[in-house]
Amino acid sequence: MELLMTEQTADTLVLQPIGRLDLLTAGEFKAQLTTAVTEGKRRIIIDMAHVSFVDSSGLGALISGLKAARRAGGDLRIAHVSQQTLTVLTLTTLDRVLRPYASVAEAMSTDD
Amino acid sequence: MRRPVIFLSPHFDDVVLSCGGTVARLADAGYNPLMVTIFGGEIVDELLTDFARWKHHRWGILSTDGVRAARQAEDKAAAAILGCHTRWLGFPDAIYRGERYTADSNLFGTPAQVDQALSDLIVAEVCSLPEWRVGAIVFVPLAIGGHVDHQLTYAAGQQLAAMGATVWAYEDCPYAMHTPEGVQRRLAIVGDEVGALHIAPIGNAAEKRVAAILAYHSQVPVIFRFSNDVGTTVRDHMRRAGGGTPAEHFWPLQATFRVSDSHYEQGVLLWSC
Repeated sequence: MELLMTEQTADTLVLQPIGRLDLLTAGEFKAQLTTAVTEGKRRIIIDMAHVSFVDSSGLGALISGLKAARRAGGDLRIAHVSQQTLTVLTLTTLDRVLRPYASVAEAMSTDD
Repeated sequence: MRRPVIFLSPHFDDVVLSCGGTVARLADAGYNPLMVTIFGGEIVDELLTDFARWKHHRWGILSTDGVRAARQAEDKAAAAILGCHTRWLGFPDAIYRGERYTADSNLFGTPAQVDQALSDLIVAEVCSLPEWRVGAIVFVPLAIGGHVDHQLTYAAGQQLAAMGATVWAYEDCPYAMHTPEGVQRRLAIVGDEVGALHIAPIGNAAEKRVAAILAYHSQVPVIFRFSNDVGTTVRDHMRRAGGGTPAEHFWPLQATFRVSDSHYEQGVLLWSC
């Protein structure tokens, strides 16, 4: 899985993973999210537009990133999720934790 | 090349509690078994319903932070004792799946309709494991006790058997220890989905099972709250299973039963052939 950084400010980072977010890639992705938070990026937006597949381990990596961001007083949000990702989120009920946003702009601008 | 041996554990400790001796025996025989925890997902506060909070209180969990990491560390320690590897999938435990299970009566009842699709996802993820091969030997819980996560893992086993995997159901412990009549109750429910009981002797591996169970420090006091001595309880159960010598109980899932019929008739453990 490739990971692009598409935008950042002092405390915000927009990341765009490319490829599959699954058991094989989740560990590295989680480590990258943790590093970003450690470096002061406490608001993280994951643009999922180019993620072709997400499994439960991939969701686990996102939730670990969310927990790290929250511990730093921030948040992690996801945008542009595919139907496959939405199905996994709904079946696992993790959509209560990772609420999908329609766009990166919406994820960045919404306060909740 | 030996067929991969994969033990599916609904929660972090189920395989070790139920059939850790067989895991150790297979490891000693060079099979390189893998233990996969299915419902081992991260916990976040939003996932806590009143029911989940009540469970946490009972289990002595004060904060969701670090719970998963602690359970993984215990699992790793247990796996090291048995000589197997581990993988942890990220499905949330039933008590964290919203309002689907809000009391023990439905946690140990029929899985919610929407949850039944989770078995498909479990199958897909098991088949995506790097260790997976066609013809793999898979162990799943029989779902004695009726915990919904055990039933969903059993259902995944049925699908894997239909795909050609050799699938054995193990006797869920501590359920079978605490409520022996639950075994017959579950066998009556699954009917001819499984073949006849197979008794697998475990010899000295019994002590590894006991030691591995004790590695789950956070769980043992809760699981064995009715026992004065965990080791004695487990050893007594293993001896009863083998009619005097330590053993563990398995049932072949129907598709497996047909494929392995000749082995079965000879009374030979398929996975030791």
